[in-house]
Amino acid sequence: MAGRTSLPQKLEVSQFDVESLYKQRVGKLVLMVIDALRCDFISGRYMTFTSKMISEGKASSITARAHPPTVTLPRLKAMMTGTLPNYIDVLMNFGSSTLTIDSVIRQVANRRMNVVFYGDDTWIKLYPTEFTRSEGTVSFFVNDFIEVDTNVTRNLRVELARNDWDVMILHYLGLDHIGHLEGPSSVHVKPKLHEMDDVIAEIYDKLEENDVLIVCGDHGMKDSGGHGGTSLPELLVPVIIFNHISDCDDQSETINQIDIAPFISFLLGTPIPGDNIGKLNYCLLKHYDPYSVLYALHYNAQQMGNLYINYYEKRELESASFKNFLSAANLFDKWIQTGFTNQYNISALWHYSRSLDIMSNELILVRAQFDLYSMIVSVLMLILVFITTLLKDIDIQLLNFLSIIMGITIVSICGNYTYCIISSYDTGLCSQSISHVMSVAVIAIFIAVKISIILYSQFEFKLPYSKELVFIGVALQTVSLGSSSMVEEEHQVWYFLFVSMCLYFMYKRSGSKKMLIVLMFHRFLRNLNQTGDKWANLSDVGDWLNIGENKQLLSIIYFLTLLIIGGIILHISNQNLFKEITTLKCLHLFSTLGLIMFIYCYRSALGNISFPLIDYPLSKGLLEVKGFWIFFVLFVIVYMSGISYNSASKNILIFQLSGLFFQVFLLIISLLYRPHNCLLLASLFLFVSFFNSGPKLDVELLTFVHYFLGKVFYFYQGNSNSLANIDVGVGYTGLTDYNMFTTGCFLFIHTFAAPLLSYILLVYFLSNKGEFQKNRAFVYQTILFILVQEMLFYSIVVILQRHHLFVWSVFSPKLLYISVHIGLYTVLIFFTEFLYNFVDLLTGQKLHKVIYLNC
Amino acid sequence: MALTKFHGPTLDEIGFFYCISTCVVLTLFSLVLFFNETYLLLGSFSIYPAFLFLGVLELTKWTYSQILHQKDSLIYRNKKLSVILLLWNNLKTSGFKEFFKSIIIVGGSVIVYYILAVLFGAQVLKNFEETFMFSMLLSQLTIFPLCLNVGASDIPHLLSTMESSNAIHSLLIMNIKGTLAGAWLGAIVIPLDWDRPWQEWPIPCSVGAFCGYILSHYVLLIQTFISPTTKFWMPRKKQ
Repeated sequence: MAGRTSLPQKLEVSQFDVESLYKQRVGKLVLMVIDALRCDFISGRYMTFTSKMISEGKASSITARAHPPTVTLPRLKAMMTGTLPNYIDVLMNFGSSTLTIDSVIRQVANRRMNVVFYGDDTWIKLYPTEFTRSEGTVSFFVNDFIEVDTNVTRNLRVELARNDWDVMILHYLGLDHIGHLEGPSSVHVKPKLHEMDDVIAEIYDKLEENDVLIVCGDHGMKDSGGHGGTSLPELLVPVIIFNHISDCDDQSETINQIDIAPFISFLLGTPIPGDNIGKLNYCLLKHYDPYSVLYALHYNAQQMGNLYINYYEKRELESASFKNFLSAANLFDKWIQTGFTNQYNISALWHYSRSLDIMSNELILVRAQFDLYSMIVSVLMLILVFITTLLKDIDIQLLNFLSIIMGITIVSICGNYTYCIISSYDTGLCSQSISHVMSVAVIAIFIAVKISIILYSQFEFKLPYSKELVFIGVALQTVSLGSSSMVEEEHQVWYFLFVSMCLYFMYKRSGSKKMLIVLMFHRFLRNLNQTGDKWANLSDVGDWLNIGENKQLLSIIYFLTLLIIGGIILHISNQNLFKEITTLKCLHLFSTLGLIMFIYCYRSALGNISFPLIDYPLSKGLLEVKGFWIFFVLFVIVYMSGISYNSASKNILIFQLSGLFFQVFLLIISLLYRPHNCLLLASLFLFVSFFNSGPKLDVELLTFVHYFLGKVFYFYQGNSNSLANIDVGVGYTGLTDYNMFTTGCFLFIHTFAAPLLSYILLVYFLSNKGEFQKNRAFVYQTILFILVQEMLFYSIVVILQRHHLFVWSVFSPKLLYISVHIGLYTVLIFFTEFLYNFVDLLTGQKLHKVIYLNC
Repeated sequence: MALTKFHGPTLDEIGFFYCISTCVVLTLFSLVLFFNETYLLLGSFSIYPAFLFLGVLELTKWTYSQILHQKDSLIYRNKKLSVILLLWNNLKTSGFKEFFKSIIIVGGSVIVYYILAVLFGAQVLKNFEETFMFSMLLSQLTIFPLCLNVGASDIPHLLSTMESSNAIHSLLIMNIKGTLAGAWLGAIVIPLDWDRPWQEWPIPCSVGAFCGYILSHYVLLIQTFISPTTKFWMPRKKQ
């Protein structure tokens, strides 16, 4: 942590009187963070008081540029530490832990200043001990627009009455919640901004002359309401400073969000956080006396210069930015020596600003340190996995196998550490800590097992695709990931290939009519939710249906879709389960209808759709969801008892079980999906049954088609490779407060609904035809092949493109998505296999019973 | 009008002429389009002169093939009028019915291409002009030559089997495949974020179709050069 000692004491000749040059410049500081505050929200229409103050010159308004990922936790860290956190923080967004690196808050707390905090409890997790008083509100309960904020304001009033604090931080969440659920054009936005405006006025009223209030957003909001991506409405946030004169041009001069950290440090006279790469902007400091401003700039430049040298080692001392810094220091020195009379200060200022500018920008670009060695090792592992997906027969002799594993393990571990010693490279794989050594061992064993499997299996490389065209399609899709725009617009590639595939089947004269229907549906469904980046703002059917005046239509469509879903469920169960048992059949029908009714009621309660005849009371739908779960349990019990009554053969049992899983997930997803998206569920079943009955496809091709459908529907739903498109609101269906497990599950099931369902349907249809048992290895192999080749290619692309401008905004979220996809399919495959063997046991026991009885 | 009656060497000669004329004229033509940036208009009605030119070119090639075919029959001694007479005669023999059928087929193919473009993601009505011109181009490059050289009644059979019974047919099939593949591949550049004027729908696809069309002729030309049996570039021996 940077201390007072980090403040420069002297230049070459001159000595500084640090205490007078770098001191606390404000009385009290209030930092008010309004989550998801967009730049265009600061207007007379929304925030009357604020815009009046700005036009009267009592507050200055600046636009700050946040860096992706535009998610709350990384943005808070950026503002408080002046550094740019990595993408992994997005995952951590849902479980933040104590921040260990130097930050403004720590510096302030270290100076025995009293910091109070009210708002998003992420802050309290980051700084558990630094706040004198604090009260957090849980940030993840998105359905709540009002209470999260009134709670903060109530505490604020208490604090305004007291006088013992120096810094107050407020974090208002309501606006973000509105954005997530309803978007920036929601009717709730205006009253919320009015409320914020009133709070600002209230604080301003209590401020004394040298107290400063900073109002800012942590990130913006997309036009569709989410955030996390890289579009301008998400990146640009307003910063409004009350009681502070600045000379920044509101229109052109955008500062970076990380520049807020050194600015707050300057105001409070605390040391700048050690890792800060934000710069002090002269336009913000203009009205302070030039000597101390120059001193502050010098301090900032020196602090950043140290980081700069650390990163680039000595060779960059020659670079322009560093020279700028040196000559600025020189001029500064001269200016002091000449008794502050000369004009040196102006050119010193210019040089400081310039060097800060360049250093900050370069450090932003190079902030990521790449562990190239580890990356190459992981690609090697991927290649091995890839080869194993191509192998056919594996013939293992245990002893030889083990000895080879041992040998290769030892060789690779030795190889690894030899490499470490030779290269003296700073990488995770060379670290001495226990967890790292363990992971090295695991990796080595993994490599060894893979190599021995490859050695011992027959070298019969057979591409899983006998069909060249399909292979070309897969290859094209994979290769397209090499371009950042294609990653952003991945859905376009899938749609295009999907149409091509259907046309190919049509051309081959297999199931032409069905394919034509599929194509027509596809054309409609791709307009349901516009996604991606380039055309995302085009209006789509989903938006249109959700306008107030189309509520009736949406309600009718939703009702019909739910009926169809109910029909599908009844169809599936009646087909194999409830042929004779009428009581169960009735119960099943009853529970299905009940479930559908509760789903409809839930949406009515939320006000998304209208209920026929009566005015349905608006609520958060807690009661309805409870009802849903009760009927859900009944439904599962009925189905299970149906299965146990039918003592069936193994294949049929798998068929029945996959049917059960399909229905279970279908129901849960219907509950989670937004009303207009439920159409997708019915269409998915239609598509799948068309593909299974129309064109004559063998197992490999069918697996491929199902994977394809999973992808296409995944994008129909409105997903994309930007983190902003995850619908966070879904996670709180029927919950009163944040529950990490349930919320996580809901989010996951909702986002990956399509691949999940299409996989279950694959098992269902295959076992229906009685082909699952003998072909399941094929199925697994095909899926793994597609996934692994994509991952392998993409990893290589990412390694090669690691200095690409979009590596953080486009490539790394996609890597995250691919990994989750692979994880999903791996779990599914393991689970199927587990279930399959479990069923084996069950039917085996039954057989024994039958034999026993016969005896 | 169908060319099936031709015997081998003439057919090969016609094919050779087809390829070489297309390669030379269209390469030059596409260079002109490229350098005066007319290709940026491929999605608007104002490009129609280029379409007319393509049509005239196709007609010329066809007329030449007819002349080759009728060369020996010595009916048309009056050289000046021979071409017109020949065309008229052809029309009369094969019947106006055939002619109208061809028009219907070309028109129908425009509609089919339009539907295909929409299925692939074009707007249904919003970019009518662009999509319409694209489908016009495709049917001019693929179906129009078929109508001229195969005859309207044989087209469905040829398209459904995609099997060629002679050199001209295989040439036509090749050029259909090339054109469609070109249009398909052209779509690749549309989603890229370069924001260039030539990324607008349907320019990349139209350009792709055009390139595919020319390339397939080049491929055929090279094939005839490589293939040992056909040697048209040598002067034909007089019999």
